[in-house]
Amino acid sequence: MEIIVVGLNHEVAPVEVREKLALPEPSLREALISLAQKAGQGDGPLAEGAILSTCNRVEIYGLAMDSQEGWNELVGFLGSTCQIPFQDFENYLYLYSGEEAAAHLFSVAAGINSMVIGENEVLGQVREAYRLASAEKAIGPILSRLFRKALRVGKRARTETGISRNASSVSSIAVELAKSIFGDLSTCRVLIIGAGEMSEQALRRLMASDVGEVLVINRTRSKAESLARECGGRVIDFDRIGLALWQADIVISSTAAPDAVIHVPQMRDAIYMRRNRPLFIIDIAVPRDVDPEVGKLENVYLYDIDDLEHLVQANIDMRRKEIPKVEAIVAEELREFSAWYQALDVVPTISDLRQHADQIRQAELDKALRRLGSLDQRQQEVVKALAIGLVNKILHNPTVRLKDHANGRRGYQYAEALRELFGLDAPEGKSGKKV
Amino acid sequence: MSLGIFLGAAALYFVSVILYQVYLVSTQVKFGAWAFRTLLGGWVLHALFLIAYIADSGSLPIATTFHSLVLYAWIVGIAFWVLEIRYGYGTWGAWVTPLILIGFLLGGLAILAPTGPARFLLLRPLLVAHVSSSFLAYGFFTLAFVSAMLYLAQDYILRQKRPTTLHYRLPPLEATENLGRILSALGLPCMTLALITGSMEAEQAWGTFWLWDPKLTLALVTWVIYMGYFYARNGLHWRGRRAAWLLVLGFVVVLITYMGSGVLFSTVHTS
Repeated sequence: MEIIVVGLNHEVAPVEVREKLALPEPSLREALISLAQKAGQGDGPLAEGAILSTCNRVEIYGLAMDSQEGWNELVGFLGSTCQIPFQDFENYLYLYSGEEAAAHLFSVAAGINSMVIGENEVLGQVREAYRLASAEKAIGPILSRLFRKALRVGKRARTETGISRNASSVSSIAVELAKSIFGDLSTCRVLIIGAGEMSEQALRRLMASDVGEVLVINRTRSKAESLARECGGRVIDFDRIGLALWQADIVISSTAAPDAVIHVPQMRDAIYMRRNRPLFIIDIAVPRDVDPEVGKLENVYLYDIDDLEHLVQANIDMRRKEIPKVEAIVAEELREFSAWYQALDVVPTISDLRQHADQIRQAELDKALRRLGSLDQRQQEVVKALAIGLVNKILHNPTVRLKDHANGRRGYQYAEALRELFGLDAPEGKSGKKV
Repeated sequence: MSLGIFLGAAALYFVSVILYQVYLVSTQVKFGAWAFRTLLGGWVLHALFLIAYIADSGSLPIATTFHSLVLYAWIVGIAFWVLEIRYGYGTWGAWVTPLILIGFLLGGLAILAPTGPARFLLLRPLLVAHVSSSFLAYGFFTLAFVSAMLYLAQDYILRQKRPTTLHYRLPPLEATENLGRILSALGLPCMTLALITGSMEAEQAWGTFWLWDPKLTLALVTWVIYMGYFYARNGLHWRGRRAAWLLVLGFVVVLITYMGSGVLFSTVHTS
């Protein structure tokens, strides 16, 4: 039995191809149900399956008797589920098996296979994929353990290294800078001029950090009103920008205006009215909304989109330096997982079972002999023989039957069950040494 | 015994300095917590050291400028930890603790290994009031200087927009500006008291309430600068960089006033 994966991500496939293969939730569930049915068939190539589908990747994980057959099965499944001819995407796929497949999932969960290195969303997506696959019973014990391990890798990477440490988006950098200026944001007012994806994201992050009042300005009153409704803010007329400027501590500006909307004289007035309290301006517009000379005024901190993106890039570069540390964690957890996986083989399981039973036998034997006190040689032999006989007789059937199943696809399931029920493994997450 | 206490305090202060630097770089809260605890421990031993000195010699450690560093460092210490408990800004400790450590080491070594004649002045209430208020003022103004420097550093980093992660490890601008304001507000009344009690002492010692002696003049200049700081802040609405530079200027004058006698000028004032 081998772990396999078939998929594509932002590195190998353009968005037009990824779109066609994306599986939003209702279709994802149906796909998992049909995957579960395939796995449920006793003689099919697949034994387990799980699907990870995000805007940047689609991957199907499986457990197959033979990796080549398994891949074919999964590729066919992908094509039929998404109703796309196989030729349209076959060149974009990557196929992994065995340790490579496991390492791939671990890397994905750790965030080092993402477009933005160290992003946190992907960990939640892996968790969700695991949850759905369990709910639809497509996943079994082996892939479950793989996914749980992957989630652990994801968590370790983020706590033990700096892979997701610094702000990696324009909006989170903006919030970080605001905190460097103001500390506690709850006493700050935000003014948002114009609208747009990035400025609204920045606003949302500021609100998540408990920023105080929100003021909204837009040339189009209705847009201002709808944004104000969304975030519980106040609308201010476009021509009263000067007034708004002296009330706001943080200004996010992204209008479509071809010229500057905020000039030095307005700013000087605002600073004067504010009694020189600092003012933080994020100018996301292109062309810029704020006259760059404003940035030279005392107590004004002006960042345009270039400045913000340079900071983001610097942070991402710093994250990249953490990749080797994350890879080390992936390698460590992969070793543990492989050790566990190999022990699932029937032969080591039988020997571990034997060892476990012998330990118990020896312990009980010693206890009994002590309590019985003085026995002669013959009596001792009888007691010892009793112990051995009991153990052998009890273990005989499981051993023989497990050997019979050794080469069938059920073999690993029984081995796993035996290991689980007899507690032959160390608890998950610790080193793979046997108890 | 004093040597033991000295070494203990010095060791704890040293550990605190290291831990604060680590905290600055690593961001893990536990380092900041332990840095604070070791600082506090060092400060308690420092207090014991001072008490032992006072009990032994019957006077405050003001025999020489070096001796007085022990008192100065102790006051910087208490001002720091009280503000930390009140505001918990944390990372500025990385700059304050080295000051405390150096002051304590220099002062303590001067006390334990005396090299020249030392003068002891009896603990008269007026003298104690004058010395305490002067050193309290020096201590507060020193911390105000540290916070002003941190403000200027953070402002510089933010304006440069050059990628560096230091900006989120330094306290926010609002914090350092706040500290500057509070510390000056604490220091100014102390300085006023120092001048008043000093002038009462002058009357007793030299028969006049005031002399245009270098040290006394500098003390007055110091006082004027910090009064100026408050006027600039509240009347002229100076903030940010300008206000911070005033605090830096004030500290330069404080340094000269405190340590200049004998080095830069001679004075009839004692050390």
